[in-house]
This record gives sequence, structure tokens and C-alpha cells, in this order.
Amino acid sequence: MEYGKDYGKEEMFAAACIREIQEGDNVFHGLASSTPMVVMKAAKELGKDFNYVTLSDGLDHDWLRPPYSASTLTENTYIGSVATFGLDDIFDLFARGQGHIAFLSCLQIDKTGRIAMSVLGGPDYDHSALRGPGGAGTASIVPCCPRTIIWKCAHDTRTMVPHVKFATTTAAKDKSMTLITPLCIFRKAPGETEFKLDSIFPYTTIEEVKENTGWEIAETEVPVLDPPTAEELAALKKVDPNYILGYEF
Amino acid sequence: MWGSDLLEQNPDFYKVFECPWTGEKVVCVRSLKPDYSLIHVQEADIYGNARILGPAYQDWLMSRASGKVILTTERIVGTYRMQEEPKLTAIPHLLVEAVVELPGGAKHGICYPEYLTVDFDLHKEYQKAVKNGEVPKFAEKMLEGRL
Amino acid sequence: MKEKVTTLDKALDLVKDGMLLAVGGNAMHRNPTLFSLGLTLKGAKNLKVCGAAPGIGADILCATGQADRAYFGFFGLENEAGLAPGMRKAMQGENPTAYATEGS
Repeated sequence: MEYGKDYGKEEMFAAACIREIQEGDNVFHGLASSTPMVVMKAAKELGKDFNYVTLSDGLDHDWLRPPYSASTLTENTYIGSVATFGLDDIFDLFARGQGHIAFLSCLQIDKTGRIAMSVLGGPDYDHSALRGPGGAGTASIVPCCPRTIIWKCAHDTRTMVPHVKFATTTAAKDKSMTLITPLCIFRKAPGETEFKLDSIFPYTTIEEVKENTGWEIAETEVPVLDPPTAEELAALKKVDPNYILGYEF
Repeated sequence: MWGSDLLEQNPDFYKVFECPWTGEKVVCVRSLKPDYSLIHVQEADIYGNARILGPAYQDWLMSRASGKVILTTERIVGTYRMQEEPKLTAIPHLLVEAVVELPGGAKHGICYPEYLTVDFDLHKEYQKAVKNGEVPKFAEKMLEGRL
Repeated sequence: MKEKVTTLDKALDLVKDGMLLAVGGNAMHRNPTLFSLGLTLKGAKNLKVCGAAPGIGADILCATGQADRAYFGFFGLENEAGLAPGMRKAMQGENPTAYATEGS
């Protein structure tokens, strides 16, 4: 598979996310989450037997109905569901320890997994330069999610900063957190307090990752992830004919 | 909520207590008691029994939290619709104060299965109206003939 | 059961100064948008709005300054419709007209 010809960073990003999902997982994405939506539909198409929960109330919807909008609140993730299992049920699922993966995003993030979703800039919380949309439940879910995945379709020093001033939530010490960007994967293992560079994508280098990251990266040698497989690319194409995957990039 | 700066930001809203049984520290969140819930639905009868088709989000919870609901509805339907399958009534009449028949009540947004996409021309007008402080003017246009 | 059908005008008048309003729907989906727009033509002020994910219906009331506080988990219009312009106008910068209480 050749970068730029057979696949782009969008497909590599999606493949990296798909590979995080394991059989039997209860996997959640929230609203405004077009990338994880396509990822999870493609994982279903690849035959992974996991449970798909989301805010439309639908549980395991008909993933072959093509999404037509980047909104993840439409009936697209509702029609063909086997049951309704809404956000209140989902919060309880995670609080009971039965959730496995939550796909969440951020405005900014730092090396210790402090995540900004509320405000950026300005002298204080009530006088921000940018009032963000808020955590949408991340503060409740992250402390009880064993494998939080932060998906962020931009990798730059404005997003990945030395220190997040106001943290809507922070990675839980006893849980794992994974940060996936268009260049690489960072992981914070349970028991640890900082992200380590875990692997890089085939079309980049550690140097490029370092240049675009606002915190210090100590790792000097990390594995290069395999490019998307033909099966992964075919699944992405099949579930997403309108190319909603490209929306966030 | 552990690890969130929101706890310290809102001391009047979040408080940490010890669980009276286990001694474990727990974050308690203050409850809200809305005066009204404003909810747009696809079907309601004249008494305020309301059905929500498709995603219901947290409207069921809101109606219970307030105990007083103002409904706008795409259409008024016969009560027999609710009697066919009572479970599908999302909001029961005893929580409802007013029912307004208002087709298109969620426009310029979306209301499954009646209208499935945002009207982006109107949305641009709305964004401009916000910027220029002219939202009431936008409202007059949207509500023409309805008030 | 009592009949509750009324006019938009009369229903709007139920909303009084200082009330806390839970606004249904989510982002751009199934919000009581026309009802909120109706409120902008009435005088109610010092309103508070709440919801798990308030959207356009609550944004309208922030935009006009009628709502001075919002309780929410997520307040936005999602993706193609963007951030909530009324909420941002009311809450950002030196002289906010509305304040946020984020519930997770």
C-alpha cells in the first residue's frame, strides 16, 4: 500500500482507530464525532463483534446505511438498531465498569492527558478568548473508561500543548488513554501519568512528530504502524460512500 | 469527575462527600429543577401525551426533572395512537401544561422523519443575525403568520 | 384528562422572568426552535437554560441576552452548523452577558 496513491492520512488514521477495537468491547462515540462513526461502521463491516452505543439512542444500528452528514445525532445511527440504549444508559454502563472504549476528542491536550474542551485563553473561565462547547460527558466517562481514545484530526503545537490551563477532564491514573493523530499514536498506560510515543505512521518520522508536538518526546525509536490493509480500505469505502471520513481533516 | 477543573470552578454545583456506607469519596452534583421543559415532538394528542419518533436524546429525563412541559408538535394525533402501545408515549399528559400545534417547529434545524437536513441558507442568516444583534428580526421572518 | 391545546402566543406567555428552562432536542436536532424564536419577541429576561446538549433553541436565548446562564454538558450546533454563535457571543470576552455551568 502506497501513501498518497492507495491511501491518505484519513485512511491511516481510521485504520489505527479500527485496530483499537477488540471483540466483545462496548464502544461509544458521542455527538460531533464523524470520524469515530465511520471507523466503527467499518469495524462492523470487517466482522468485529463489538457493541456500538451512541447518542442517537440506537444500539448496533444498520451500519451499511451510508451517513449523509457529519452530524452523529441523525437517524443514520438509529435505524436498524436492535434496541434503544440512550446516553443516560451509556453513562450508567461506563459507571458500572462495563464500557470499554470511549472515542472522545479535544480542543487541546497535554502530555499528562489534561484535556481542554471548555475554554481557551482569557484571564479566567468566565472571560475566555474561546468558549468551547464543553466536555459532553468526558469528565464523567474518562475516570471510569478503561481505554479512552482521544481522536484528534490535527497534529500541531496549538493543539498539543505543554500545559492545558483549564482541564475539562484529565486522564485517570489507573486507566489507559490513547491519543491518535494523523501522524502517530501516543499511549498512557495504567499506572503511568504521561503519554509516551507508541508508534508512528508510515509516511512520517519521529522528527516530524517532535516538531509538531508542544511537549517533549523522549522516545528515539518506535515502531512504524502497518499501512491500511486492502480489507480495511474496502470496508471504509463500503460504509462511507459519501466520504464523511474526510470531514474532520 | 475526578481530574476535572470543573469541580473547583463550580463549588456551588459540585461537592465531594463520603459515601455513608463505604467511606469512599464521591462527587455529588446539584440537581436542577427546571420551571418548564420546552420540547418539540412529532406527535401529541390534545391532552399532551407525546410520542418522540427516532432519537429521543434526554427529553424523557427533562420532562421528569421539570414536571412541567410546554410541547410544540408537528401534528396533533388521536389518543388511540398512545393506547395502541402506551410504552411509546415519551411524555404523559399529566406532566404537560400546554400543547401547541406547530408544524416545522424545529426549523431551520432537523426533525426526523419530517425534515432531515439543516436549512443552511437560513442558518447563515441566523449566524448573521446573531452577529448583528438582529435575532428578533430573524424570528419575525420565521414566525410570520404563526403568532 | 384535560385538554391542553393552546396558541403559540399564549404558550409563550407562560414563560416568566428568571425561569429555568430545559430545552429539548440536541444541537440542531428536534429543538423547539420556533418557540425560542417566539420568546425573543416577548419580554422574558434573566432566563436560565439547561440541557445535556443544548443547541439552537438555547443559543437563540443567549444571543438576545435573555438567558444569562446555561447549564450543559455540550453546547454547540455540531459539525457543518458549527459552534453555537449566540452562546459564544454571550459568554466570551471581557463583558459576558451569560455564564456557563458545565455538568461534566
